[in-house]
Amino acid sequence: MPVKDCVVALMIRPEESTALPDSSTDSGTRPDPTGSKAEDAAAFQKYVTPEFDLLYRTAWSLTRNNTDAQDLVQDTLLRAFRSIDRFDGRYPRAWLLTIMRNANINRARKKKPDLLDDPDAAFERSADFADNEDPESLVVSPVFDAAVQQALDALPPNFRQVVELVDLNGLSYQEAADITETPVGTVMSRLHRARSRIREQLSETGLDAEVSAS
Amino acid sequence: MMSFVQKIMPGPSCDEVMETLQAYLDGEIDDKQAKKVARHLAKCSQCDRESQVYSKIKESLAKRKQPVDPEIMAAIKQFSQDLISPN
Repeated sequence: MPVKDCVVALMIRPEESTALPDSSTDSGTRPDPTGSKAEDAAAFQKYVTPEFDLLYRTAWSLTRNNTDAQDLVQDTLLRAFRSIDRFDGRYPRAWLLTIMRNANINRARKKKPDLLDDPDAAFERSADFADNEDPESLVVSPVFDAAVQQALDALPPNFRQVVELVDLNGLSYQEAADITETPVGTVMSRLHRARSRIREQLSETGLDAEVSAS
Repeated sequence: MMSFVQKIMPGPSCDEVMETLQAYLDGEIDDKQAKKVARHLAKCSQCDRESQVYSKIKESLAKRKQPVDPEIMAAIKQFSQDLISPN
């Protein structure tokens, strides 16, 4: 989506202007949160640019679609830029994920009926990454990895999402809870149950024994 | 019933370790708790085996992390550049 189109559609929420108290990332504080345009651009480069990769991966986990993920990232970047003069420089990752969560809520409201609520549709879309998988990345135990992959694909969407956020994207429990609007306990529970299901599948195929023997 | 490990080793039980194992592997418990779990795993082969299996699962999942499509990343960077330098 072009920048000008995003600007027209944007409404900044007040909560996006504040730093959050709980995050694993702290890049220091911003000395003057009410600076000039040049300072805003510099702050954007400092706090936002390093998180592009994480933002896209998280957006993909939320939308399961390349186009929607890119739109969500751009929406997030625009909101971040518009409110960066009020951002104090603390916990940039948590700040950005909060913005993305709000942007995603806004998008979900506009997009009805929401296909994300359809587990079958989400399952079909989950094949996107697998289709692009580089065979060379599976080097240690292709059979084990294939079994994990199969088990992951068989998980309910909510379970698979939290596994992707934590195990693939490296989010903390708190960050995963914030972006999915669920309590931390729910994230922990889903993660535990998801991994247990994967583990059970490995056990059924005898692959768990391979681990302890290696 | 108290297991053999519990009898010879004070600290968390196997059940307690299993409850916190995921958070332990994710680095989501404090140092004090982590040390207790680590001590238990060092002496309990059954729990250690579970820990190894879950560690391997985590490793396998992490390998699924794909590089972001360069075209998409380039578009995001361009969008960002247009934001901060609109001319």
